[in-house]
Amino acid sequence: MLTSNRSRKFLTFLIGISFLLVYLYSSQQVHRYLENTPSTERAEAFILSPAFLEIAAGEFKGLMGDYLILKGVSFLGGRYDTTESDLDAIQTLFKQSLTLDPYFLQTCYLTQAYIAWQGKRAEAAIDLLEISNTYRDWDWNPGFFIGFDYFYFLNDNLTAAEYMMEVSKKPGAGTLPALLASRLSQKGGETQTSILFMKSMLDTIEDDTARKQFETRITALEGVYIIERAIAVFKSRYNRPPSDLRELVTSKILEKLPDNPYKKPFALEDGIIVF
Amino acid sequence: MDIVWLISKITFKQGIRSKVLYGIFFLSLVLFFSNLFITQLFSLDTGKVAIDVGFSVLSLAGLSIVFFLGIGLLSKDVHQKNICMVICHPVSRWQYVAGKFGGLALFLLVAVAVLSLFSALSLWLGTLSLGGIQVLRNFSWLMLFAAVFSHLLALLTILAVGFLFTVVTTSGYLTMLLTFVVYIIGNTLDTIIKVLVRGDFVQADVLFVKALKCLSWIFPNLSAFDLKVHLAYGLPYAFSNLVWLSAYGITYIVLLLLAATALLQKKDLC
Repeated sequence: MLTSNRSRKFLTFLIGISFLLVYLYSSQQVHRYLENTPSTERAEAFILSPAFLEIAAGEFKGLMGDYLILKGVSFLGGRYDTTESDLDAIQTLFKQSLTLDPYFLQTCYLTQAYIAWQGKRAEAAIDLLEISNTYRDWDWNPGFFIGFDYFYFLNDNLTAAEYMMEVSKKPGAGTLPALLASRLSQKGGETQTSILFMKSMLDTIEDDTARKQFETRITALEGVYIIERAIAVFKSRYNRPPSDLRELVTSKILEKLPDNPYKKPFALEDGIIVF
Repeated sequence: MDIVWLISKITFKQGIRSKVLYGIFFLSLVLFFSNLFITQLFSLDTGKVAIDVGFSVLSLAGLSIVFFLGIGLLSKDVHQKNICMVICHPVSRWQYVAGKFGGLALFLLVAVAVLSLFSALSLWLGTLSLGGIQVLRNFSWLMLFAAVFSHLLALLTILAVGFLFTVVTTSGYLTMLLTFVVYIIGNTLDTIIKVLVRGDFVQADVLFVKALKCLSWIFPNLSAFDLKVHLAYGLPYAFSNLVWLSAYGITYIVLLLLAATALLQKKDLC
């Protein structure tokens, strides 16, 4: 009886050890196999409308939004090549996440980084960023991204300037958006609007350095405006634009070219005055 | 009133004895550590993520108590006729309903308090590296308290719904199922109406939307008790809104309990 008990225990022990050894060996093989297999994973999004997800998530909308962002980011962080269909999926994930939680700043940043920059899908990115911009009405970041996308990817200086002007009035935006807005607005042919905007902003600024920056920009824009009016007179007189700004002086429309506060002469490039 | 308090105490002790509190304590610990880990996966709005995780666990734990402990206990009493042991004494049926609800509400209060404490702690630790909890936009402890309180009110509303269905139905399973349906409707009806009114994705008939709006007067609007977004993003929330929300929740609960008592009076229990 005793021997039988002992042998049974020994047999159980042997079986246990055998299973443990097989487990360790197979586990090692699986790890090796996974390490040597190139990732074939592709980005995937739920084929569900964002509205359905919004309803289905119930009181866990925020958590679901976080999960969708993590799902997208874990793919983007784990691969180096991203196909168009991957980007489609990522875009859907971000849209779903923004529908569930339109306030989440992480989604807004990732949209700009991956949809606008990496994917070069500026219009799609703007659509998503507009959601953040509407909800995060205290935050200057979404509007700044939209303005940047309009300027950099879509070459729409005036719309970019509109967004930058809106952004510059938000807390924490600093002076950069306002200065960019003035330059973009001038490039878009709205120098007078740009001057008025900068003057209205000047009243709200208390910091001396920022005031100086704004005053310099206003002086430059006023110089540009004088030159623009002179060019209009030149065109009506000679039926052609001046080939060089000095022509405005030689034709006696201007006594002299205004001084550029940025310490370089004003120039005419592709019909736009550069300062 | 003494009888109501006595039944409440007994129900509360039943809850403690059911070992659910140990489960909640374990869940709190898991939440505490997982929250610390999950927030590190995000670089922006980490406080918001911590709030999402914390309140989700709060919801899951609260719902587990309501469904498995609350409805389970009451269903055992009503459907297995254990209630006869109580009402054969000079205990009226309203005293029984009030006492049972009071005891379970007390138990929920303790569980939610424990979970909230852990949740707040993990939120504080999760945001420590970014400059503390004050890094959250317009953060206030008062708002955190308001969010937890409204969450508790939502759980109590579901519990009251469970009470009503326990009296109406003949099995615990059916009670749980119907209460769960009401929970789903309560959480989604408002969103469905908003989506339909917005008309971004689906076009709905005007009459259908009106019918849904009528339903929203019958079913509890549980999404109104969800103040997570206000807390996480520091959105303004008027104190008067909280007062009205509390009044809405409390009156809804009282009405349901009154209906449950009235139905229990008519029910042939023994």
